[in-house]
Amino acid sequence: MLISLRNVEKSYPHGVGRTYVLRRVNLDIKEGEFVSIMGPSGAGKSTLLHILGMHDSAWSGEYYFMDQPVHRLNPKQRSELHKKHIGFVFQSYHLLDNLTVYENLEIPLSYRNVSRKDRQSMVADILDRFQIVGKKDLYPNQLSGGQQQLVGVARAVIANPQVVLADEPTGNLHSAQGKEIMELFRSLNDSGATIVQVTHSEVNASYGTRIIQLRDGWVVDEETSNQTSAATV
Amino acid sequence: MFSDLRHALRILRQAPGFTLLVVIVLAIGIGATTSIFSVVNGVLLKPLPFPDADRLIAIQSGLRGDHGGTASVPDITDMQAARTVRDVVGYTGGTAILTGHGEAKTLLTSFVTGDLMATLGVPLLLGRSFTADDVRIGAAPVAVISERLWTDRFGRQPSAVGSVATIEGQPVTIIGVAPDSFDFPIQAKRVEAWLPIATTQIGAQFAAVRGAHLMHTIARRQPDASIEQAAAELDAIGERLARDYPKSNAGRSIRVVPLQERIVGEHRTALTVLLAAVAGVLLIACANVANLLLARGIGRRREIAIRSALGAGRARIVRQLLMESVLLAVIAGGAGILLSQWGVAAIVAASPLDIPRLQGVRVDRTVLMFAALLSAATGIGFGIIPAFQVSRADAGETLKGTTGGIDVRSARTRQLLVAGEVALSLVLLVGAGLLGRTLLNLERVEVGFVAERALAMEISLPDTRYPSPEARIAFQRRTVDALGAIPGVRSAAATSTLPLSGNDMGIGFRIEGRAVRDEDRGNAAYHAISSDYFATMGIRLLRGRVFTERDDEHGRGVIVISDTMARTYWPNEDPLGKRITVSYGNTGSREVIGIVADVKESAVSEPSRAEMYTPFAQTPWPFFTVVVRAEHDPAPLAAALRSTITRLDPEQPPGDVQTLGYFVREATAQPRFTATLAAAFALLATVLAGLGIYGVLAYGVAQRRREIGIRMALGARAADVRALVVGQAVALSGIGVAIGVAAAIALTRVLASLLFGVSASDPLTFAGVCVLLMMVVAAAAYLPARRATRVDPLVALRAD
Repeated sequence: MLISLRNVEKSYPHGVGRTYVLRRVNLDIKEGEFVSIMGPSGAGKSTLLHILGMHDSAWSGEYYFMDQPVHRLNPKQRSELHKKHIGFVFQSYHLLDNLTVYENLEIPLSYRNVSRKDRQSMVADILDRFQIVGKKDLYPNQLSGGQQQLVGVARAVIANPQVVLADEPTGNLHSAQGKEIMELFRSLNDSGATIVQVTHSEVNASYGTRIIQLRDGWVVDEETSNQTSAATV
Repeated sequence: MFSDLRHALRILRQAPGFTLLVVIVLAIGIGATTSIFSVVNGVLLKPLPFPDADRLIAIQSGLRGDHGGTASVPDITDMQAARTVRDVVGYTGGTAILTGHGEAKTLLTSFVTGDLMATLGVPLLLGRSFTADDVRIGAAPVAVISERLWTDRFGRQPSAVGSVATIEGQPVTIIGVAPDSFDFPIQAKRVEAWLPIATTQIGAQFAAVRGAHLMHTIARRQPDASIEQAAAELDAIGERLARDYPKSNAGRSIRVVPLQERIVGEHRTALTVLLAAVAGVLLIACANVANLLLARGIGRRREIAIRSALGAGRARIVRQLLMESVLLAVIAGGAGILLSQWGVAAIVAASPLDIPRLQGVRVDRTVLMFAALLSAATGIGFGIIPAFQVSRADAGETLKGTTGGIDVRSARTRQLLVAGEVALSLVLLVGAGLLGRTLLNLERVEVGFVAERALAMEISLPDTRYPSPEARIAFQRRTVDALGAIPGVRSAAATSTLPLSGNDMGIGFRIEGRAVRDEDRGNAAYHAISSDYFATMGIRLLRGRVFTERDDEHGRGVIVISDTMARTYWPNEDPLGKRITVSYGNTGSREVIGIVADVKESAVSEPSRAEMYTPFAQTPWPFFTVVVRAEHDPAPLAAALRSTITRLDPEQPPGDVQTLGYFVREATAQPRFTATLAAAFALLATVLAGLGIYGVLAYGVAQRRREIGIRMALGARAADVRALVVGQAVALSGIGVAIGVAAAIALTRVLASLLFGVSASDPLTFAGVCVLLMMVVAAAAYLPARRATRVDPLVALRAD
């Protein structure tokens, strides 16, 4: 199993009690799956995704990633693990405004101590693969929303992670751009990457193989999505 | 690392206003610190410019507890027997008149007992220096001249060496030329000629007198002797001399210090205090910049969170942020070095003349290295806290967009930094306040004479043209009479040495009629004066009488003493009518005929010492200073003074004319310099601290807009909102003031040796500074408080 969560909970102190964001979440994700996490606002979707991405360490329970007990790792070990295997796509793109497209793509590699020569080659490949070579010297504020998200996806996959986590990747895009991004995710999944996305959109969810429903922090349902009918829509 | 640097440059370029502000604040701090360090380095730290300078020692001889430092020529000859030192040589300053090579010129001269250049290890540019034969009594007069004099008066002709020049009216063979790089004794005006003291007429008399303690003495330690061993051996010699020559040497002992310490030691405390003060200013500047970075860091939380999410470890993020800080500091350091060039020039121009080695202060390699290290340390210093704070941003919450409002930890750090700035400002202000009060106290000290509307001019009579006492007395009388006849001059007089001119002369004396005891031997500041001296100088007669024209070379020996001398040596009896034998130039014993008020001789801050006055006609020295009291503004009389001397003797070059006020001001020049710089630094620090407080409050108001809007919507009035902001300011400054007062009480003790008339924990100064700082805080809080009252509740709440 690639990802296993057992009794994962997250809460905040609130007066004399606690407010729960996630409650006893149990979840298994296999390698190669394309999973969509859905639910209303405040259900805890993004929180769950950030826990999976190891950005958030204030939770309880058990989290196994590639059989590694994340809940028992120290921050440095978690950082090494997520750097090696996880790529993250943000709803707001979160590109670094003062770096060019090229530099935004390069930066995750420099944090992984990849040599300069290898970085140059990997960035060139990804620019070509995503067909954004002509935009490599532009800054994020010179790109459209769709182009920025494209760069965000490219940045997430440049180090060939096993898992790509995407938090509402098309939330700030119009439908044509959104479709382009989702097709990209599909092709990544076809290439072997495991994709976990948070989405409000049924259309986006239909690109995946499984849907997990969250409500008030609880996992209330899991279902298999109809991929063919979603593609037609 | 290179990509971090590139990124840092880009970040700074994208925020030009912020970058410029930080660079200016830091450049001022680094520039000021580098300027003062240049002075400290050039004056205190740099070794003397002589080979093996650490082996050069100053031999200070004096009465126990007062090692003012001068010895007699016979004493120096005895010191030469010491085995732990070699090349013992004495020197004393004076002037000598050069004629025959252009216009008559008064040369600043050093009279020596031996080969000074050999002791210091400096080869001459041309010719040779003194041999043992050159320095004995009766030897043919010779001189070593400076390169500057050789250039100005001898056209840099090699034939100058071996030629004969007329110095003090007698033929003197020039035997060598000292290079311009040779500067000893180290003093404000450079020496132009070195002559053996034994070959001048007056010097030859001194050279034979055991009690004429006029020579400063230096030597070189033997390579295998420590300074302690040299001190012990020379002290033993001093004790033997005291036993063998009780009349002249009783109670005297010898102390040895490194020569560099002797030259610059008295300035060490003042310069170190100034360096600490300017470092305080730099610290406050760093705290201000740290605050700016912390505020800016809040806006960079998103960027830091993204980097963290992309795999950057905390160390990597800290490194990147520190790179920006160090880059800012390096840019500021470059600007600071440029500023320090100007700063050093300004300090040297404004400083008292008596700080030795100051004219040679430069921004040299050592100073540049210091500035470079200081810049790097500054960058790390102000960058480290913000880097650690900002890198701690919660990536998860930031990326989800669930962070907002006030970053409590950052706000607290900023408040602590500002409290620290207030504390440091208080320490600097207290220091400046104490030094300022010292200066005021010194300027209020009664110097004992009236400095207004009076001029003074030194005259040095050459032995050959004024060889006899009669000739000197006659010239002095003619001079005083002629000066007194100048229109606009109320009275004129003469004295062998002028008070506060730096030329004070101490001479021993013995009280007659008492058993010979140590306490009946004394040493007093000595003046040979004309009869109108006390009236012209405005020195009050307390009892008895002053000299008249009848107290001349034919009259009986008389003497006037000061009030301190009377009370010290005749505590329970009337000194009038008693007799004193003066150690030098004595024509028999002298009767005390008058007691005058004390006069400050060498330093305004020192207690009055014993002073004695004899009639010039009875003790005619070959040098004297004329003093004229003007009816009105004395400045126009300067030319008349000079022309009068030239008229009386065309071959006698007139000396520099100065007002008496100049000497009084110069006497407080050092404390004025220290107090002025300390005040400048304290003011700068306070302005920076005020800006720091303003920044924290202004930012706080911006952050609390929503809260202020809610309060106003709930009924808070403008006064309530102002109280909110001012309350925060008072809390910040209150903590800072409390810490600052405690620190100031502890730290101002180091100023004790620089203070006069005020204690290091003076409550009035502390209270005044606290009030001043609270006023600064109030001023800093005014604008943010006003801005807070203008928050529109509806706008503030709608923005939520």
